[in-house]
Amino acid sequence: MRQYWINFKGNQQGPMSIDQLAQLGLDESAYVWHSGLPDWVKITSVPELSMLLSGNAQPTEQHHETASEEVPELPEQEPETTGEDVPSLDNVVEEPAHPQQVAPVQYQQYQQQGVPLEEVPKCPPTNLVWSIIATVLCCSIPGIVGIVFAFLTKKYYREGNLDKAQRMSDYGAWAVILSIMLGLISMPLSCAMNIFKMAM
Amino acid sequence: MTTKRIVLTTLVALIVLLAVLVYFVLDPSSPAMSKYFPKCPVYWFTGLKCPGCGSQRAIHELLHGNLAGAMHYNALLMAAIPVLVLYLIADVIKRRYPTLDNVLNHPATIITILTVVVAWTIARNIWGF
Repeated sequence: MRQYWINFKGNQQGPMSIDQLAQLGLDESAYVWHSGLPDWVKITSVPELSMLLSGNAQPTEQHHETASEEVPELPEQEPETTGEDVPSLDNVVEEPAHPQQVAPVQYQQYQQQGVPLEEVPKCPPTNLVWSIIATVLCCSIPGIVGIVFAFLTKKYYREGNLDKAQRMSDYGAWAVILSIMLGLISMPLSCAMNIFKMAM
Repeated sequence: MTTKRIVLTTLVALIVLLAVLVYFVLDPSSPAMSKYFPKCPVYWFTGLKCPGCGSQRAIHELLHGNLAGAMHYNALLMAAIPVLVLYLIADVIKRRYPTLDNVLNHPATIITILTVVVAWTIARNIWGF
């Protein structure tokens, strides 16, 4: 049977079975993790556990079914490695604490789709400040390209196209790096040229 | 702060301090000194002025408190400094006051910055400032 780790009202417990979890009186604020998940998730997003929330014992038969399906995976889920396997909860706890970080404009869009505030995806970095610095100080052509990518990052983010926004953000970062590299290369190169000219 | 971060911050601060010192003491615009300062690769190869051309001379003038001189060498740099400060402030206070950060990172704002930079680059190559 699948083992769960639970974080509820600041207390972390686990490994536990579904039956044990049912006795805790959990509500929607709980976070859960089991092997196979990359990180902690809200309990509401785990289908077999969200039934526990209302407090009815109805889903008992149902999770017995799921349990039998999961038997082949059992060896992986040996709770020996308990402490190490559980990802750190720090980032999860921190996430809902600063909901204002999310731009209200973007939030409205997600609100219509019923996404809770803390789960609204954040915009990937635009690197705009670095692009401007690169434009006025280093090699400016890639700097301008960096500003273009900053614009595209925000544009795709606002359209809800997160994958493309992330890609544009990465390109922008590369443009800034390229700008700094070109600036660093041209520095000794132009000095060497000057010395060469003087020697002639 | 981790040790790595402290080392990194100190290193960056030292480099900035060194650069400030060099640009304060040495004048990149004097004929004797100019050959020791790095040339803009864009100007070097194309003969066209890029938006960053003149920044070294402008920084030298700025460090001597000569705002008009700095404006003369690179007005865009002078315009960029308050804008960058504004971006930093917006980033620091964005948890409590997200509005400023949202406005500054709005696609329309970014496209405005881009237009200003491109327009200025074209203008300085036409009229030669």
